[in-house]
Amino acid sequence: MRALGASVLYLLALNAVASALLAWGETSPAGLAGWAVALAVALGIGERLGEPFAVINARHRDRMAVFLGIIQLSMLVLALVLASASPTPGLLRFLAGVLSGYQLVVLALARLAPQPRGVVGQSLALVALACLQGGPLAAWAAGSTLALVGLYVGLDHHARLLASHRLDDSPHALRALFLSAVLVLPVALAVGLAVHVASPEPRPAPPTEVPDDGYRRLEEKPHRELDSRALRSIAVTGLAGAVAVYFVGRWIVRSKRGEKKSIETPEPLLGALERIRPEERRSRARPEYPGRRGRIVRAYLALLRGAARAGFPRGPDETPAEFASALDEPRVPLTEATDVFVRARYGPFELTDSDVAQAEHGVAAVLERLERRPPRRRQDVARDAEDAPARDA
Amino acid sequence: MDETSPWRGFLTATAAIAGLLGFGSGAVALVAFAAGWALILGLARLAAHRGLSGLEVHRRLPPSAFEGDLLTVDVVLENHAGEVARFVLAEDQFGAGLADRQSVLEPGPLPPLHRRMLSYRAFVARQWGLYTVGPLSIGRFDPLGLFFASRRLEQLSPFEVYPRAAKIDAVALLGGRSTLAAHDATTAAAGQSLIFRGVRDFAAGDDVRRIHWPATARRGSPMVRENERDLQPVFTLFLDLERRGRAGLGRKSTLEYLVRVGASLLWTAHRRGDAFGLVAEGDRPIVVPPAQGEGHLAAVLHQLVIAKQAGTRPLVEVVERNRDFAPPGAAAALLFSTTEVDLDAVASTIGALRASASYPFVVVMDALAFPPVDRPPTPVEVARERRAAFVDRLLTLDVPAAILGPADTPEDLLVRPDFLTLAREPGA
Repeated sequence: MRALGASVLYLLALNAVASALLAWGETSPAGLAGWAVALAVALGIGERLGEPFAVINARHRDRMAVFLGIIQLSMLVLALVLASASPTPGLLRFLAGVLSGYQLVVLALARLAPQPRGVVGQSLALVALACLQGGPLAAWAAGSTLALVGLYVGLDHHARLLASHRLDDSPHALRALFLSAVLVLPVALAVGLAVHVASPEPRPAPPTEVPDDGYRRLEEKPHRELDSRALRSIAVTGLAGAVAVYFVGRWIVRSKRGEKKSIETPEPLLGALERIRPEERRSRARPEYPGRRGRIVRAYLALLRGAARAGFPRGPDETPAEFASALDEPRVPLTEATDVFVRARYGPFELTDSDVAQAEHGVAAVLERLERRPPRRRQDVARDAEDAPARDA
Repeated sequence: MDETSPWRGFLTATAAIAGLLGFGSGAVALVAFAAGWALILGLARLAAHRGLSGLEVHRRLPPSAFEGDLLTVDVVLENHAGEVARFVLAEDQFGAGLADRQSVLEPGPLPPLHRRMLSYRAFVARQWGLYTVGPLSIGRFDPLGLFFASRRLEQLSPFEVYPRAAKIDAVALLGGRSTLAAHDATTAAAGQSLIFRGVRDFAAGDDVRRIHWPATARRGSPMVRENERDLQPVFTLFLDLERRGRAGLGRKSTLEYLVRVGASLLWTAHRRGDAFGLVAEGDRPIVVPPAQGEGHLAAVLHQLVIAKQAGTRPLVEVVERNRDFAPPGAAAALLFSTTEVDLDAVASTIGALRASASYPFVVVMDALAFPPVDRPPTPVEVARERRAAFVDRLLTLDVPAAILGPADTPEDLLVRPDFLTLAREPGA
């Protein structure tokens, strides 16, 4: 499941980088292939670095992850604020290139933290850049990223769940992927289609800036793409926000330190699967018999239903032999069918095809007779009905 | 596993930022991305709750265990819903263990109307006493692990933990008979031995397999065979639960020592095949007549672990009142909680037991040497004098005996072959 998760993570990173570069850069297919190879190499390095990272003291590792995460978060906040405040093609191209390059670093450090949130966050930032352009590429970026993030989260969850219960995850990988896909893919598809419908065309590029060679007063400074004072204030705000996030996170971690945790590891012993017996069901169900035995029992049940339809129901306390003697006609096929049924229902021996044929033919003969000539009324029922007024009197 | 997803907060915050950016910049894709994530959250929440009511879970575990035992608790998961269940978690709380909860996972698929037996192993880490197991709960994550829905089933089971018992070899060496003497293997009373005693009239409740058909034919009314009763070794524990013997706290208390020594004595008798019983009087009289078997051992140990040192009657008086439970040939253990007793009465009781052909032996807790809990401390000299006087009297009576103080560890002393060999302390 880990390999499957890593593959999905790679696809997520590649998809994000490709979307951002295609949206704002002038990347050729060869360039994209180069990025694909570079990302694969970075992820490979990241996977290999998992073991050396595991040797580091967990506390130190967490501190490193938090430190790097804060830097990454600051950078992403700055980038996105810049991009949304002044979405000029040049700036966005620059940001797409920088964030794509940083994606390589983040992938290489993916196993520093238990969950590779850095990779997912970086990918989402790149996708956000792509989404700013609008059009089919934005629709694809939003939908595919939602799907890939969902799939990765699902796989990661199942891997952690199975690992915490010491179960091998390999037999469950595809099932986990399927369950996650069932939940995520329809939504992702809907999002892609909705974006495509709402914003079918990319945003028009801003008019090209024509150098103004006209008269300008000496104290008037030339207009720049982004005012340096605004850039400085954004940077200061971003850094202050990052510091605030660090301290808030630290406070949250410390406040959770006293919570009780399990100190004994559960050891599930997988037991055998067994069917809940019919009598334990909430509604009583007839037992089922397989093979020849089942055919004979079903044939006899058809006989009972036919007799009931003809006005001769079996009493609840009546044995098959008593029922046969009460119905009486046609005697031979009825006796044969009853005898075979009793052997099938209560006997331990294997039954042959001739037994099945005998039962089915016998039942067919009885049913035919019942249709042609309805049976007489049951004596005991009639007697009870007649005796009742006498007893009351 | 933690029930809070590490991704839910992170991705929700990210999607919210994306949505804000989208609104700010007019990027429809970012707004749609945020809306899509919100939809996934809603669907995940629904998926976690779906089909949970059709799942049932039961627990099977023994009602008791000894300290330090490793138990296997079976958890039976049943699917009464109409759809296949996957990745179902059953969580239980085993009170006698150190873990705050135990969790078992059924990865599935569990088809409708099927059950699967799972199990977890729990280490009985707590001290002897009464605990509970449960409540049991059943839960499920959604496929992305963002939400966890659970249903709590108030299945609380009582669970008793008995003190870890040691086999006391010293008792076997002292006349507690491990085999029957040839001449008194049976007694002339109705019982279950193979020796035929006679025939009598059938009475309600008699086993029909015992009907003697020739005699029945001769008399014209049902007659049954009677066999003689087997004699078997009997061990009776007389336990001192008088309030005066209360001293010490926690693992270093007289009650702790009494219960540990008593459990080991009873366990040893059970392992030898003796009929064993318990007589004590704490806040209420405890009389468990001698009998055999695992069930009887559990019943006796149950009385032991719920016993309270709240009695007002001295042990010698309790023995006098219940001497019938130490029949001729029985071994009678007198477990005193303090050395502060009437030594003449003790001598009289031991003499009476010997006169009835019982084999008495004595184990004493030196309560005065333990930290006092409800009275001022006794001077060390007085405590030593009391102990020395008790030792002298026991040696004079030539009765197997042992005295335990706070410096002794019952688990170590009980297994020593010279456990019941009392000697004068040097300098006493």
